[in-house]
Amino acid sequence: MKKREKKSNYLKIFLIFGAILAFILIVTFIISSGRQHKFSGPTKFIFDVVGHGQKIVTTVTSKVTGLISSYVDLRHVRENNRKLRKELAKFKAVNNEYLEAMATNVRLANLLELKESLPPPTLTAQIVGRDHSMWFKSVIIDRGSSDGIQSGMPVVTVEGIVGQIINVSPHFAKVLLANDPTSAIDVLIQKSRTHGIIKGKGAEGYQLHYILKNSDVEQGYSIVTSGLDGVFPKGLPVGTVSSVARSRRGMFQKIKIKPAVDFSELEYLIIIMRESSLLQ
Amino acid sequence: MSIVLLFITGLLFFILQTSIFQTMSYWTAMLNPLFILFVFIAIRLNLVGGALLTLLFASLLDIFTGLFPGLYPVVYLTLYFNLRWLNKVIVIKENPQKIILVLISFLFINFAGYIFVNLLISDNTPPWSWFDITVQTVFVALLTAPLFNFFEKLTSPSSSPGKIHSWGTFNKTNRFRD
Repeated sequence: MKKREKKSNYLKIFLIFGAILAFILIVTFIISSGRQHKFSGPTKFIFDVVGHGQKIVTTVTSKVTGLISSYVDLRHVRENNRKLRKELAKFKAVNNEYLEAMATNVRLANLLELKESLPPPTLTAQIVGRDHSMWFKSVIIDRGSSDGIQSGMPVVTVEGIVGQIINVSPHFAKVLLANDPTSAIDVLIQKSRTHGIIKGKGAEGYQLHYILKNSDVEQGYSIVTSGLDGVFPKGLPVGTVSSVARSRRGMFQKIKIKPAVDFSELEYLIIIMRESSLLQ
Repeated sequence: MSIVLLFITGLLFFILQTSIFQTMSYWTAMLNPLFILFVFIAIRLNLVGGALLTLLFASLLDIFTGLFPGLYPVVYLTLYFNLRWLNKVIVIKENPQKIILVLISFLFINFAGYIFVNLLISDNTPPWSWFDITVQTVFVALLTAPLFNFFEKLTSPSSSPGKIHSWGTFNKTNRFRD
């Protein structure tokens, strides 16, 4: 009996020490690794398995909500149809003018022998999972390395920048949103052409850093990507200046940016691919 | 068997709260049933099984939502061992006690996570929203009692609360009731 008790006491001590050791090892691992950009084999497997679950739930939900909204839309369809026919006639006339201008533009470009610059290839993706924590801002998309996605690719919508790919598995990828506190993007104030870096502030949007006190910045100014970070192409909309504060101390202004994109409404994203990833 | 059931339940909770809950409305995005499962595991499962399940779920959170590898396992395992110690010191039997325990744990997790992230991103403080924390805490409090009952029923073959001993075997009696 005593032997058994002794044995269980040894086991308890062993477990406690084991737990403490594991804890220390994990802490050391966090501090030493910083932010890891590559998934290991088992991590990729878990990411893929759970990602499929998220995709099924998201697809079913969007189908059901789509069905409900289709029914609601159907009730207003006649009125909309009449309005749209009117608008169509108007836009047909505008389109004719536009086509004419395009033809002139092409003719003149040919005359000047300008080389047409092709836009980079893009890929659309659906968001299947979202980060529910308060500390980080990321989303999971239904495209992975099998679609040519690589870490570091920029992610945008028609409104502006969204973030960049940080982890990839064969069928899914994790996107670090631009409003995450660990995100930093090189930007340009469109009007004054001043460079700065935006950092994520979660629900508060972004904060623009390193803008000197004598720089011309006002509320409402547009912020675009500078292209200097090597991730985002130049000129993509980032947001607008929502507040500017100049304190007595320090060299820089405190500038808050309202994102061009509504992060809570994101559904489909555009990934700007690299030529090399398509060749692979 | 009960560990497998709890794992499947946790996995389902995780999928739901990172997909459908996030897209439906603001209040559904605030639901966090997986967290209540974490607390249940800590006070009802045996040491090894509970630690293993906590590590598994925390790693899942780490892969999907974490940016610093290992952060979630550290925070959740710390909570796990603290809760186990608390469960030895205080007898947690009634619903109000469970709710208070879950709320304290929830605030601990958020504070610990915030401090860790602050240390790791020293140049840009992450935002802290008291409003969001309060709303989430209220929802966690509301869900605690029904979810605890659900977990008890899920893990107890005789539909009565019982302590799970090792790897899915049960005690027929509850030590708090003895």
